[in-house]
Amino acid sequence: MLSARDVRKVYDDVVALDGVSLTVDDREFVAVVGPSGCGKTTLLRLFAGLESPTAGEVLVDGDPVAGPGPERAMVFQSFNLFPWRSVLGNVAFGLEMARVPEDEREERAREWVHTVGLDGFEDARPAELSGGMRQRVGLARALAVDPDVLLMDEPFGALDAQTRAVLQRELLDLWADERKTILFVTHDIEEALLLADRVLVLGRDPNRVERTVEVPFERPRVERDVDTTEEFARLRREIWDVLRANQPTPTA
Amino acid sequence: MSRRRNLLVGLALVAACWEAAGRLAGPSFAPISAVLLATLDLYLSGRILEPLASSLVRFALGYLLAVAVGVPVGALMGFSPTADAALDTYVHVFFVTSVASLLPFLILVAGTGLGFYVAVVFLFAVFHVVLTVRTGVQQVDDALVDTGRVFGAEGVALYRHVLVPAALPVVVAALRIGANRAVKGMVVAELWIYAGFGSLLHSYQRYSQIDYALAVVLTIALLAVGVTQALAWVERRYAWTTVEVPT
Amino acid sequence: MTALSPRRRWALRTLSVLVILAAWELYARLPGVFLLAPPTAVLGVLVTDLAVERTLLWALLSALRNAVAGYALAVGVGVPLGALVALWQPARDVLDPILDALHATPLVALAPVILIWFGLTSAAKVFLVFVFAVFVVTINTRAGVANVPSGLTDAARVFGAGAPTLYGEVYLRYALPQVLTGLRLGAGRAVRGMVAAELFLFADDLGAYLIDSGATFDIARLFAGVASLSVLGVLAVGAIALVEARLT
Repeated sequence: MLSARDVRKVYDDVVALDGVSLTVDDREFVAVVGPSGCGKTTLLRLFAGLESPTAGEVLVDGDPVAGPGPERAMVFQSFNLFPWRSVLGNVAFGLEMARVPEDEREERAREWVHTVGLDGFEDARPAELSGGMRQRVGLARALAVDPDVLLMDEPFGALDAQTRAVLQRELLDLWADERKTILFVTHDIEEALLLADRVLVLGRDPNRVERTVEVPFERPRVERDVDTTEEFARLRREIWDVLRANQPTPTA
Repeated sequence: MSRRRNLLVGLALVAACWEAAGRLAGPSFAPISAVLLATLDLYLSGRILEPLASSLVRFALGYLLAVAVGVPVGALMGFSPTADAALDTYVHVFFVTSVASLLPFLILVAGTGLGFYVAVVFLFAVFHVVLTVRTGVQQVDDALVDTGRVFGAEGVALYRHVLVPAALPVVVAALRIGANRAVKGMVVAELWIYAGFGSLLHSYQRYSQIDYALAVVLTIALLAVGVTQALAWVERRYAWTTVEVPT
Repeated sequence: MTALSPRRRWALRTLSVLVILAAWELYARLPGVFLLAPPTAVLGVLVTDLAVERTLLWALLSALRNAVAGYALAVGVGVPLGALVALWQPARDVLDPILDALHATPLVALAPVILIWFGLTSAAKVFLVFVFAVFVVTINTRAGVANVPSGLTDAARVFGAGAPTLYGEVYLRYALPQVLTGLRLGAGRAVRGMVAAELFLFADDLGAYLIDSGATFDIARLFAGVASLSVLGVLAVGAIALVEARLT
């Protein structure tokens, strides 16, 4: 279970987060949407332990976050694969750091490579892969360490629309098997509504949670059935209105 | 800002180490205080002025010649694949040749007068200028050229309005790189046939006056850095982009 | 600005080289021309002095010892120093300006000072080569290490990498190409430093070869010396380039 209590994060003069409080229950899929500069990536990095809050608390299962670790695995928008390692080597990275013995490590890594649909590409380098394939490696790497929490930072933001749709589907399928706690940052409202149980809308100035939207659609979610409903359109409009009210107005 | 503080603290530390090392190491090293005093003496007594002036003249003549020859040749090679194919081998051969190794030859050809120094400075600088300009011109984005032509620029107009402005940053970079090379050439020449800074260094070395020798080195370093920074300033100010060129 | 086909380009280059060589040969043979030796004469000297009597060969090898020692020192100091400057902000604040300034300075000016310090010893030459090569190695290492994207270090840390993996794998593997570039450029500088040592510190066999040839107007021998030094420079850089190609 993740929780943030009145978290503030300030960089030099910039207030990235200004009193953010939220909770994510176990096995819950929570999406965070917001305009650029609202601090949603910062929030994720705080939970990842890559940074610490200026004020307030960031807790995982009641304990403050002390630093990064594979139990809170992360999937990055720019993939962040190690270019000198093969696909298999990248997927196995977390297992290697955890000192999992080589045989077991390779077996588990291969399984995940298979699960994300990259059979045959085990020895390929990231440079040889398309964006969608690279993110599958990123997903596999994160899932291979069997994390408690999955932190996803606009993971499909760098991909074209078709690939994005495919990976959204795959994420839903993967999640259906083992429901991990997921905190998913995106600027795409529809993506948030499609994937999440709950959507938190982060505003700007002050940077904090403006609205919480419960997503009523049942699982398993099928895009065509979900995104054509009136409910979907209404929720989308609601979130869009909150975002628009929070857009920085251009100075005259 | 803590970064500036780091710099000052660091420099103070370096100065302190230098001072200590100079005092401990005996006659063959000088503490920074002695070097600074020597520098002061050189300037106040005016002893540095004549060498400085004559060195600058040699530098300027060789450098200007290198620019006057190097920029057009480099541009020609950049614009014309034929010229490039013809000249490319020579430029590269001279680029990898150590000009210093040519010094015994250059004395025979150019004598020991001003011509010698200008020739050395010229040779040090010109090939870097040529190659920098050539690479820069070749790398002018084709998209820019296409755009110019779409809007009606051809021939001279294309050069004037697209190619020359596009290549300008790299020409300014070449001027900076060439100037730095020219200063190096000047010192090399003056250490071969003693003159200007070279003769000062030589005489201080002969009498083991390390503090004065280091003072001259300091002046040369300041000159080299000063010239390079001045041109870098011009580059930042007037070139619409700055260029990284592998040295 | 249409490009030439590779074949035309090659043909033009070869033609241009042949024309100049021919002109050079003919001009140098004219009676009354003393300052230019024909390419054939230079070639003859090269064969004699490198392969037959080997005077030049030994001179080069002997000078090369100092170059290799100086280069090794430059790498041993430059790579760790560059990494330190890249990774530690205070070091960066102090050393960046100093390194850039020294890189821009004519290092030959240090030759008289080095003579005072080391006297007429091999150590003086090794030190001069070191000084010539070290800045380019340091600056390139610094650039390579500083350019490691924070995303990669973030990912490494998230997935549990400790310091050994972070520095020993992530930084090292990412920075390696740039470090090798520095080593390659440094090799070229080391050869130039070697020549400077022979000419501006004190002459051993190599320096004597060049200086005596000039003094006796033996232009062919002079050109042979210059040419072999150029080739040596190219070979030194090429050797590192080979390592570069293997490792990247």
